[in-house]
Amino acid sequence: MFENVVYVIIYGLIFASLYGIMTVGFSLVCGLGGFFDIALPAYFMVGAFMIVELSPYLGNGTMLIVAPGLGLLCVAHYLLFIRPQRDNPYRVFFATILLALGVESLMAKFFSSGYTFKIAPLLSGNVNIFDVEIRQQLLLGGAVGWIALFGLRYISHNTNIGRAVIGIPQSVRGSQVIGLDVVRIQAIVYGVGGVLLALGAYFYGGYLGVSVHMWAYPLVIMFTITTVGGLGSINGIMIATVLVGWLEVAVVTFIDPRIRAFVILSLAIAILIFRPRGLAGKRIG
Amino acid sequence: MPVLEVRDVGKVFPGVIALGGVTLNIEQGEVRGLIGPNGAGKSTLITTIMGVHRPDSGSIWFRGEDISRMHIWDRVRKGLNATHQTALYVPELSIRRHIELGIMVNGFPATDVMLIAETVGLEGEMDENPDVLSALGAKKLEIAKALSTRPSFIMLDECFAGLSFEEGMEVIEIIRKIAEERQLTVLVVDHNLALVERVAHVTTVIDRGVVIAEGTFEELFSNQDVVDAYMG
Amino acid sequence: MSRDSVRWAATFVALTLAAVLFRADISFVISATFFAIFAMSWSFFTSYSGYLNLGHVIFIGMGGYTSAILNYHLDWPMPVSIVIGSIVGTLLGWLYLNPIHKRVSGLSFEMVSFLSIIALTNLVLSGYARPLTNGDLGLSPLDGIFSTLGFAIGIAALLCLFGYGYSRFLSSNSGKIVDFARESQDIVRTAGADPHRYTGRLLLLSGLLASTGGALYVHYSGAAVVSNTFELAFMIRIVVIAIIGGRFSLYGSIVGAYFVVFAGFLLKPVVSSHIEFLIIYGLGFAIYFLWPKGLISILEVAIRRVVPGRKSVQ
Ligand SMILES: Nc1ncnc2c1ncn2[C@@H]1O[C@H](COP(=O)(O)OP(=O)(O)O)[C@@H](O)[C@H]1O
Ligand SMILES: [Mg+2]
Repeated sequence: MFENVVYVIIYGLIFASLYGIMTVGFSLVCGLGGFFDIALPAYFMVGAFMIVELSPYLGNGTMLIVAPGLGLLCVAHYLLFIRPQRDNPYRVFFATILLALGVESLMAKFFSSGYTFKIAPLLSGNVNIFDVEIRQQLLLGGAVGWIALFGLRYISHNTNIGRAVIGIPQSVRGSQVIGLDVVRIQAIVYGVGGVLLALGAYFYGGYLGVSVHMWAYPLVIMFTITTVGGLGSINGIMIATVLVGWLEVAVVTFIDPRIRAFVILSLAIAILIFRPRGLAGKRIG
Repeated sequence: MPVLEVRDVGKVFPGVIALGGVTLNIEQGEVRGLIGPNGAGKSTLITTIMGVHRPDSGSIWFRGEDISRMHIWDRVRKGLNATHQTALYVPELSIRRHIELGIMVNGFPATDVMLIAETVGLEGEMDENPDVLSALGAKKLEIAKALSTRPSFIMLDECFAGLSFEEGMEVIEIIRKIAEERQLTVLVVDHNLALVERVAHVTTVIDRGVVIAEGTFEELFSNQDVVDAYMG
Repeated sequence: MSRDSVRWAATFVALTLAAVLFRADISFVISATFFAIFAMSWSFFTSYSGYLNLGHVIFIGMGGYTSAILNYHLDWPMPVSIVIGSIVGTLLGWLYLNPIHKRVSGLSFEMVSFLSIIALTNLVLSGYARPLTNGDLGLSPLDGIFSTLGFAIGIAALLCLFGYGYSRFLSSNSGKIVDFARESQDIVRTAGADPHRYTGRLLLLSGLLASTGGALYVHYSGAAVVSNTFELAFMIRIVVIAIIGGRFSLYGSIVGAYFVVFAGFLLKPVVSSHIEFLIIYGLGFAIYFLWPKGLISILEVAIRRVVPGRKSVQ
């Protein structure tokens, strides 16, 4: 029992960090624009395949190419598909669902849809914390994720652009008055979000494998963290991701792994119905 | 017994005490004025009486019944209605359909539509869409919509806003007519003191969410608090 | 005879003719009619209430699985299980979605309904539901319905009957109140009614057809699995069909369903199913941007040219 609790706490925190960095783009974009971009989890899957495909050639340098690459892909996606219709959340929602399913169909054309691909880890040993065995690679992922989240939190509170990202949801006009361009800020958020998605894909895909269906569950996670945490709030993401991480690992450990999406979604649905502004943010819709 | 009793009603919005314990009694058949500077809480009082917001404290009684926790639509069915400071209409649907709505919902006879249109003077524009209406026309439509539910008490918020003096006088004629023909009790809310003075029997003044005076205009403007509220 | 009844009778005749004409490929006609049923019932609620319902497949799935469970586990005769399945599915879906639509609107409603079907899919596939639903394998074999001309005409009749009923509802007093509720719930409240009472009726009628269609569909497909009931991809297909056809018209869904199913029919020998989906999604995307009112709006122009003086369809 005790090991199980320790296991839940540690693994929960590790997955929380990965889920946190995967959600940053999705949540901030939503906070800034008031829309959900369902295509982002599909790019997460694309990023994982980029890593699988490029690592035989680039080895340990793969991420140096893939991370900025996915960042650029997300910026291009924003400029091409989202910007022209960013004032209509319904259109964005539809367009990005179709885009995500389209990307999945396209990837399924090139990569067998039934097959799971592997990503080679940087570190291969295990460590033992309170009798819980953890892969070093996963621990590295958790550490990288938390450093990124705290770094982002620091940036968002201490730089102009960061304050603008957090400030816009409260008052779009206020930010324009101080001379910041909303489109540029959104493009930057997409870029940063894309880089973090690639990092998430590297560690998440490295642990669970890479397949064309691997975007659906992260979509569930992104939604839940965004709605639980509240829009456009790094603090909200950090609180919500820990809750979701622990809840997920607890369900997997103590109840049944196959019901985790149901439990997590029930949390998101309950929050949407009973506390639409989330734990630390503004109301959706 | 008063038709409407507002008993010590308080309403707080984040950072603002919109109503700080308002008490108000309105008698059957009265045309009451309600004035006060911008942000005094006049609109909040009306929306709270209608049930758009729940009061944080106090209670609201209509014809001897506590309605503080009723839904808007139940209050409307009890005979309460109001016009709001921003006109509420659907641009794509005709004026006729707007007036029909309340009649249809409540199962009143279809003949009400033309009676109401004639009362407010919209009979010539029934098949137009509301966005062609002038400011005066929009006020008339608001009043017509409120009348369509056969109220016994109506509150008119920003009743003369955006109207010229002559147009305001036309609205006053409508108010007098409905008060008389339909035995309606009316609460008239506006900034324009000259117009409110012409139609109201008694007027209540609120400032910063509390009632500071009540009486005829003559009484009110010999009251230093009222003068201060308007000057300061 | 009212204008609505003439139109829906004409639609029924046209669908029957299409079935007779294409009786060599009757399964495509049936498939198109099923999708017309699902898309029309979806757009009846979504387009007229103003709530974008991405949880419509809850009705289809609840109806389908209830009928399948009764037939598979309890060996109830198929007609009985279909009737019970339709009713139970309608009620379960309505009891879930109706309170939610009262509580949240706009993007929040869209989200909740969207997340609900992902959650339900997960639940149906999970170990807990497995004894009842058979997980990924689904409930199969069920007593089946065969691809016959008679069945094709039968479900076309169901479609047109509901189409007629829906049209009547929309032109009734309730429909007129819904016209206001869609644009502004406050205007209905201040007229003395709870707007959700009327949008709730819309949801119930929408669910009744979807659930009946769902119960029939699992028996026609021979299996109740998530991919023909609760799955997101199935939901999206329905939405795409309604949008392609024109979601502000009940007839639009029929046009969209026939268009998409027959496009798939023509593409099938040429391309793989992934590409077929891609093309259909792309088409939905393009039509949504080019003609927000869908193919029916093009058809309407054509009809008005042929039949001068005729007012717009719907
Ligand atoms: N929905 C609301 N949310 C927050 N504050 C509000 C809201 N409605 C009114 N207020 C505030 O309550 C106070 C009273 O406003 P209101 O009743 O509109 O005054 P009046 O109609 O007398 O001009 C104002 O300070 C206003 O800013
Ligand atoms: Mg006001």
